[in-house]
Amino acid sequence: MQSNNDFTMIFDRLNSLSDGTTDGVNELIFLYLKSMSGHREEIMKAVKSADLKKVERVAHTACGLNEMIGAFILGFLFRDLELSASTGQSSSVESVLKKINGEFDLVRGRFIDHAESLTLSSQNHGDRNAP
Amino acid sequence: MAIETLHNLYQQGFKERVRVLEDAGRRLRDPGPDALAAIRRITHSLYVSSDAYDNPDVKKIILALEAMKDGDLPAGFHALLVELQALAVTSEDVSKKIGILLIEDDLFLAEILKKRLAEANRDIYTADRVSVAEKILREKDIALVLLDIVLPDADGRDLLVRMRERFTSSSLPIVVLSAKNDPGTQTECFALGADAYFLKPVDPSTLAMALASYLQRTADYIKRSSRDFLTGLPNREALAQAFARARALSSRTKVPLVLAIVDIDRFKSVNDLYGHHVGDQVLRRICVIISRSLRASDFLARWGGEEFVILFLGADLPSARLALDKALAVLSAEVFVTPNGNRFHVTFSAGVAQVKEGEAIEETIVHADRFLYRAKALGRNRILTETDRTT
Repeated sequence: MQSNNDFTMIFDRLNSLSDGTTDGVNELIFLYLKSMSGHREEIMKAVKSADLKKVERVAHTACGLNEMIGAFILGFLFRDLELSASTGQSSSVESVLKKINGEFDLVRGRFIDHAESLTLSSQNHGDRNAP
Repeated sequence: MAIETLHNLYQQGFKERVRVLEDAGRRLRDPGPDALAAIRRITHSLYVSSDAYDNPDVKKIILALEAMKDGDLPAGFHALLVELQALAVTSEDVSKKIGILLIEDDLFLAEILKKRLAEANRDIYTADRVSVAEKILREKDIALVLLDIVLPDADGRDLLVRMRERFTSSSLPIVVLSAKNDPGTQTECFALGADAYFLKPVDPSTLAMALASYLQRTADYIKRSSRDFLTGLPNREALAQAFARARALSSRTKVPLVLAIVDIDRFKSVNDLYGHHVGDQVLRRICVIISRSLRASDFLARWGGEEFVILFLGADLPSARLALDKALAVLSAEVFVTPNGNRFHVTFSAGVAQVKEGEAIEETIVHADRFLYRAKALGRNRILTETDRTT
């Protein structure tokens, strides 16, 4: 489980990666969720077709993405998945995937809450672009 | 990459250094030796490159910054920084953009990097797979490649090998971005021709500065390989490129293109009598004199030895001749003085010819050379053109 402190760091990171405005941060959150959704879908399909090479590749990309935004637990789990896939451990792949799904649900929930609170806060201040 | 893009390549380094200076400036709020020393170092690096930025105002501001005492820097720095920031934007030439190819399959990372690297004088092309990157490399003028090596349709390292094999991309700066942190992969990438290896997660600002530095080095490389070492003028190769572009433009827009070949009279005797160092000074001085009588759109190059070639785009024979007459008058009046106090004069002869549709540079030069030969035969110190032949 990711702690509150970790999320503070992640949100700071998103802030520094964007132009610092509400719209900018929300755009990154949307992009991250879209990108992750694509990677997870691709991994699921690859697991179903027992294409471990593809699992390894997409897990590698997803690891880089999560480390970029400071979501290190997800980054670590994807690295684990990449390693399991590269060594052909199908059972390990499935067990890591379960952990990834649980962790990602948590991250997604916090991201959506954060985006909503940023939007609400900027609307209350009458400024859509307030950081 | 054409010589005309040099300004924009240097501009990349200038703009990013101003950004780094801004960051160092923020640290001045709590002034310490680190922030001051960082500002001093970045300022000096801007000074070193200031001639390349081709903007005298940059040098003026940098000199003012360098002259400030440590105690005055926090107060005086910001006003000068604002001037530098303004120059960084206004000196961008958006008509000649620098192409950067970003090969990254993750949508999020590609977008973040694309936004951070975006500049008015850059075209950022993104490819999420090798096949798309290959197409962009074939169709666009790319100055730098950012390459993720784990890609959906092929290994990025294979693309790296292919890029290095091709003449058009063999010397392109290629920066690898990867989460693969094992030394084996990194060493392999360098062995295949990568210029740098950035481990993900990458800091976009650090990457942006690194890329700007690579582009500035590219500009240095182009400059060195396309300039004559002694005079600093474009060399034969650069002339051939400029001729091809000018001829295409002339043919498209129907404006005249004239070529002149200039040869210094009795130059061998200058070298024999006063030594090669004096001869070199004469060559450099003549370049300055001729340049001053030309328009910004004219192109002066060193053809070899004591010969120079000038392209006059949009000028007819009489206008080209007028410019050369002016230069010859100034040169004839110039007194050269050797270190031993010997005084002497130098003149030149020139042949001028109109470039004909579809004519190769060698053909036009042979044509202009006939008039030059005739000018020499008639006693030197004169300019002959096609129109003179009939009179």
